[in-house]
Amino acid sequence: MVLRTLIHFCLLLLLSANASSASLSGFASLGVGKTNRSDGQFIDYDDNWSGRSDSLLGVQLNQPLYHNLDLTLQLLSQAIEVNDRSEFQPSVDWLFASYQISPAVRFRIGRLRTPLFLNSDNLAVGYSYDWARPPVDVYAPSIIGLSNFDGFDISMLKAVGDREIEVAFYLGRTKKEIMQEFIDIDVMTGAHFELKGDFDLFRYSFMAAKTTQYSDATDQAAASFRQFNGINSIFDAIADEGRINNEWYFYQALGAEWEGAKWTISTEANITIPPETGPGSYIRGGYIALTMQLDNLRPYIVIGHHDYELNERAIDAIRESTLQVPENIIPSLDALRQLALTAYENYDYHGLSGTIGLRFDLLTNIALKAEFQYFNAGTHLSDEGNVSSDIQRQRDHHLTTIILEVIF
Amino acid sequence: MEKKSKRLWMRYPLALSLLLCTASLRADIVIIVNPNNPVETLTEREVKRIFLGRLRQFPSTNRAMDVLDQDAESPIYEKFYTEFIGFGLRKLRRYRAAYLFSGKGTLPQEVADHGAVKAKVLKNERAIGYIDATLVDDSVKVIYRWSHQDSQGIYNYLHYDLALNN
Repeated sequence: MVLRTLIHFCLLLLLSANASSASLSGFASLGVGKTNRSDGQFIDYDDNWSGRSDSLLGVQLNQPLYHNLDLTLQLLSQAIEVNDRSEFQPSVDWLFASYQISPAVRFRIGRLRTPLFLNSDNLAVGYSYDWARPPVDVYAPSIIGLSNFDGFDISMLKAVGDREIEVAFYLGRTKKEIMQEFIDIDVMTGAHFELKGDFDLFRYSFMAAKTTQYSDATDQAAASFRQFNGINSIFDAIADEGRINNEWYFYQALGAEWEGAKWTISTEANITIPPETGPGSYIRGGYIALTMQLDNLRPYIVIGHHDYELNERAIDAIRESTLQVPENIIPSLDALRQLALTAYENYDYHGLSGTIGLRFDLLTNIALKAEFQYFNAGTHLSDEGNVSSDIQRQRDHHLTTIILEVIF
Repeated sequence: MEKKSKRLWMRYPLALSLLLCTASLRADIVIIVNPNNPVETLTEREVKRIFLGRLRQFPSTNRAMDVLDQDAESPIYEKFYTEFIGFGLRKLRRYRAAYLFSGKGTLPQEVADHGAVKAKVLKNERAIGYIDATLVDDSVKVIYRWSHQDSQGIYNYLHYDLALNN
């Protein structure tokens, strides 16, 4: 409530400010892509060319207000589902007031970006990086969905010899609906440390988020399991494992970049530690990218790996129930257990990815990118010979993307 | 043609020396502020940080700054960023797209030429910009000088200035 009031206050300041000193700028991506699979989707792509997943438009207004005080508003219109908004319906991605306390220290309050990864801050601005999109092995939709929060941050940027050190701390909260899953984070706090030279960069970040997480599907499954509570209390335990209630997730990420005369290498790795209860996944991901600089052409390759390992308690409870109430006794219960295990596959998978692509700077503010991405993805459950849907049994996917990036 | 050039060199050694001397002065770039600005000098590192948006107030003060850029098509812009700052222009554009749209700050205000930079600095005590050293006068204060000699760059300056004047 307090944060909402602050955001309204920022809007009022913005409206009352001197418009002549404002600067308006923007960015746009027009992307088309398709996968080789008709039976599964990857960020909403299937085997038909589609222009919705990677196309977006962003507009940013910067308004100086007073001595060292500025306001920034960024509106974003894209089709990817976040917070259940309609396709391409504009939303306020950021709205914050920024106050420069001293040459080194800055304070911001309002709706801010969650600065977890190297490209978290400029995630939507495809022109600023070479790939069609940041590598999914680290920038997974489930994590980057938490791309902004309402709160404040304070950062310190200081020169040390030939390098600069930036340390930032933030605190806030957020509420999202990402891919039919409701995520309500009451407390979101973190920090990052960055060491930056002219040609290299090292970054470490940490975030803790007190999270409530559920979906309609898991809630319905939980209600169904509770119907069998009269037979055995283990079904109550299974139902409890279908939801994360106000528990802590911990996120960590490491990133580095090195730029030579002809080559740029960048790499990132992340770890997410879920709560002990509920269908959270222990996540590890990483990638290494190599880009060659040839005048206005930038060919690149990326190799990545990710591993989502579901909290065992959720699966163990279902397996345990088959010992208490064996299969083939209650058909509806068997179907329910099967359904729950299949749903859990969404939280329990691993994969490799390989990408080759090319960025071509057409004009000073326009770049064209073409990218081919190969995935080999599977689930731990199917590896163990347990249930698997047909989609997940077939492990190979590839995705072709062409994107035009513009800044203005 | 080569023979004629040799003759010119032999006939006008003094004139050529003067031209080269003048040209080498034109290759200096200076950072200027308003004479009322209390800052007297900046280090090379501080200048680089200011124009990359990583230093947002004048050092040792809490005075905000309005950073000025010259026309992005001008030779001095290219020389300043590629040779002094050390960023190629494509890298600079990617860097600035990330910088601006990540909410870290605003970009320098682009003005037409050296004269426009001086005019802005004269009017605005928060302004900081770069101009050709030969154009410095009492209306502005120099807080950093970068000396650089490059005959092709000199040619570009002259050519661009002539084009602007015409």
